[in-house]
Amino acid sequence: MKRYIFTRILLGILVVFIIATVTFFLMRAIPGGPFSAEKKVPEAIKKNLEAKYKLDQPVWRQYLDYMSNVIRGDFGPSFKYKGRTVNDFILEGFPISAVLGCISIFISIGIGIIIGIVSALNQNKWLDYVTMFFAILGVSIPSFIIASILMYVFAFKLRWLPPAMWGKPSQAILPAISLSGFSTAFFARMMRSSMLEVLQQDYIRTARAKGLPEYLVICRHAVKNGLIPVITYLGPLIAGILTGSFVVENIFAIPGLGKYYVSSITNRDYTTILGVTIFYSVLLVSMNILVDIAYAIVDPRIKLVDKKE
Amino acid sequence: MVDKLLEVEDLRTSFFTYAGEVKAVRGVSLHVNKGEAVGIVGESGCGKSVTALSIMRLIPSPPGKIVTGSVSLYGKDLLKLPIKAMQKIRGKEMGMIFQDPMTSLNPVLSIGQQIGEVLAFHEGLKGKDAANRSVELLKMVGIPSPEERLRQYPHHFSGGMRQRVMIAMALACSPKLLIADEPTTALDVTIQAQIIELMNDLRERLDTSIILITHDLGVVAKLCTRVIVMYAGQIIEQGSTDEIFYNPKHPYTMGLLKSVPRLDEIEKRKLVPIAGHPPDLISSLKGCAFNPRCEYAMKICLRETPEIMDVGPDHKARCWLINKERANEDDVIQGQKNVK
Amino acid sequence: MAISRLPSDAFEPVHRGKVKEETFFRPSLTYWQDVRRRLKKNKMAMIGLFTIIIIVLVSIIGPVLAPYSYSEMDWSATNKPPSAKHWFGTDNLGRDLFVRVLYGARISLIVGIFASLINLTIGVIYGGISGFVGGWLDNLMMRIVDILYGIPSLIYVILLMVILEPGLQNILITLGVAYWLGMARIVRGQILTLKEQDYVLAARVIGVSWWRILLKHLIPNSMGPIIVTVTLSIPSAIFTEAFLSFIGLGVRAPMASWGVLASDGLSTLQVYPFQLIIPAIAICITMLAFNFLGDGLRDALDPRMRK
Repeated sequence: MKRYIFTRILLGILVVFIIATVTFFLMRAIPGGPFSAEKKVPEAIKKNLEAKYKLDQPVWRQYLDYMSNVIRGDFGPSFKYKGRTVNDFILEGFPISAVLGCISIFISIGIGIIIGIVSALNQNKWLDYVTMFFAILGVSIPSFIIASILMYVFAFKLRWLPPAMWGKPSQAILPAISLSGFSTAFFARMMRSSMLEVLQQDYIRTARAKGLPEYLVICRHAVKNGLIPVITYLGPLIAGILTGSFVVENIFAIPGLGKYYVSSITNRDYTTILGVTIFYSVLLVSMNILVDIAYAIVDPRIKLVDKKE
Repeated sequence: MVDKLLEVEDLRTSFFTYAGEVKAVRGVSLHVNKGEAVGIVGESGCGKSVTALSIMRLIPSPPGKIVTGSVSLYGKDLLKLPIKAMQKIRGKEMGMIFQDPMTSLNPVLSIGQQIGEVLAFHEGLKGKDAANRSVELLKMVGIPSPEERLRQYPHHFSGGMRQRVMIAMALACSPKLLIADEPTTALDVTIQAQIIELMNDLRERLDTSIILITHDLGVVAKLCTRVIVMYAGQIIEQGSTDEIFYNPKHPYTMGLLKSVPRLDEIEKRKLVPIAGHPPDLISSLKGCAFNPRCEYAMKICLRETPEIMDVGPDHKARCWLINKERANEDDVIQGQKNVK
Repeated sequence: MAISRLPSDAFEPVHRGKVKEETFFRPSLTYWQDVRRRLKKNKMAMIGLFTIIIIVLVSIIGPVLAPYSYSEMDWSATNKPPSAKHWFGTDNLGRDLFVRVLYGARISLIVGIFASLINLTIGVIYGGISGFVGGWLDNLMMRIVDILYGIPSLIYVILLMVILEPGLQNILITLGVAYWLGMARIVRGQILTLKEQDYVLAARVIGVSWWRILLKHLIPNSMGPIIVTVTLSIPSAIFTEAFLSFIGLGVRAPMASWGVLASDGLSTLQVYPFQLIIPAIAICITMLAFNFLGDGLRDALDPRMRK
């Protein structure tokens, strides 16, 4: 187990390193971008700027400097906002995004899995049809549309909930629903098909043959097995929530990291794009490792594979 | 008169699929006496497993449904019991083990948990008591170092060992009846012998009746005192093991016996397979279900289904050849050979 | 003795020679006949299929017949609600929304279909080589996929779009390049399992060439999952395009994809909700149609469901 985690972490570091490197050189390679020398600014300012962003040095030197700073957790200054660093954006935005993200992940997993189990147990009955209709609707509506419609109905028309900003719990409701809509529906569908498959298995018949009451057969024998394939989708779920936050935070004017990231893209704030991309990769890679460990805990067969290695 | 433990009366089970009703069991009546081992044999799809699952009321529904019939355990009709009462009987009064020990144990629960839950539910044993009893059970079925094994998961066990675990689980509450659905089919031959030996031994020690479902006649000969032969969802012949093996009356039973290689024969005999396939149980069958494959088929066989009839004191068969109205009933095979 | 109810010839033997082997069976269907039958039985899938056909036809024919062009502005008729003159109303520049939604359909469909074809091609070649050759090459190629898989494709897409500049062609390139990973994994997985199948082994034993095995056994048998993946990758490409347009990295004005229309509509949501709702409904219907069809295909192609 330890060895397994160790190799996963090594691989993760490699992935982050590759992403950082590729992104760094892509940002330098943008034609007409800020780092190419064709900008029409006075020579003196240009010199100053180049010195500030170390552009006067050879690219490999810039790369090494940047990477050593990143390892120390310093993503450098923002390219567009004077006196602000990329770290500022991350420190300000990420806590907000993390809260919203965690609420959404919680909703997706909890509600999605329960819906999936319930509709699997009622296969081909009306409850199954209704929930699965909403689930397919959920995976068919992009989050920005859910967000816009929720905002129109609940904030503008009914005036029940605030349309924007962040701080009060009531302001988190609409964004959290918009952000988790797709993954809740997705998990419900996954869990349903996984449960249907598990319920066909011989060991479920064994459990019934032992005389166990139905709730034990379902809760103890079916759900745990049904969760195994669903867990593999936790990684993509987290990634989906993360990228979903780009639009949802924008629509609801929430000052999270996703909003900063999108505005850094529209403003062509290259150092922020670079820094936040690296930050996101670290986040996702560590989440994926956690998911893999969770997988190994739920499925005892994984450990056997590990031992053989 | 011996004690009848289980009595099945005119059991009919169907599967309702998109293509129509598949009548998998078409009126099966059988009984199992106390302490007796009864074998049910037949080809794949003849309804033997469905019969067993119907007795346990484990037919997957939908699409399956027990249409009519009764299954009585000590005179109590199981098919009329509410589901809660049935759960109390499964695992407690009747245990069942299945064909594939590789898939019949839950891969994410330890062996201890899987045996323990039977004890917890039926006997109220928890914690240490349950663990002690589980160790006893594993010892009983011959699993070495049971204390350690309890904490392990099914994938740590070989096929034979898993089947032993299945048996331990099925016998955890000392049931009166053990239904074994092809318990040795998925195992190596040497392991098969061990499992059969174990079942035989446990039957004697615990006085448990056994219904053994198999297509392996050798296994039946070893373990069972009585044999039921099924074909196309019906019992076509039943009797004591000796009667069935040495004096078969139904052409299908004869065919089955002829298609098994035997080591004890001095003269090398050619194996004779039964030509053709079992009928499709979706279409309604006219006449005897076996008639398309029967080399002794008569006109009546194409028109009417024979009733099951006594051949001897402990021997019944469902065949027109043994009909009393048939003129030359003396020696079926001799007569047929003459025609040829 | 019971009274005889049987006719006198009842016990005459029937002579029929050797028992014929294959006479008592239901007619068997080929795999693809079976798939078509099951797909036709699936109402939702058929609804999806017909909806897609209708959307395709309307997006081809509609703009030709319409009296307005997608970029034509009419300053006298800005932000008009839906009416007989402008079925879906007009936007803040007085452009007819009906025509713009139809044009948006063209763009979304082009993006969906071409991006899927690009990632199909890359995925089949990459996954095919990896699975078929196997060994260290397979290991290496799959490690690369694993590493790329660690990055959410959307970040990847955004970065590429930042570099390539917005535009339809670049969206196609980016999506095609970003989404082949899943396809490559599926193709490789299929080829690997199929390679181990007994019938492939049998073909090898009797000396069938690898090339023929690939053509006759591996490709036809891995078609099912590939078709499903392609069908389901179309809505996800449409989805991504809408997302990119929404954050300003999509097609360029005055061209309009559904994402652009929805994004424009959002800014006037409080006053003119129809400007958002109409493109939103268009996106949802299309996504639903492809998802229904994809689900139906998956159920129809799944050999485990075959009875």
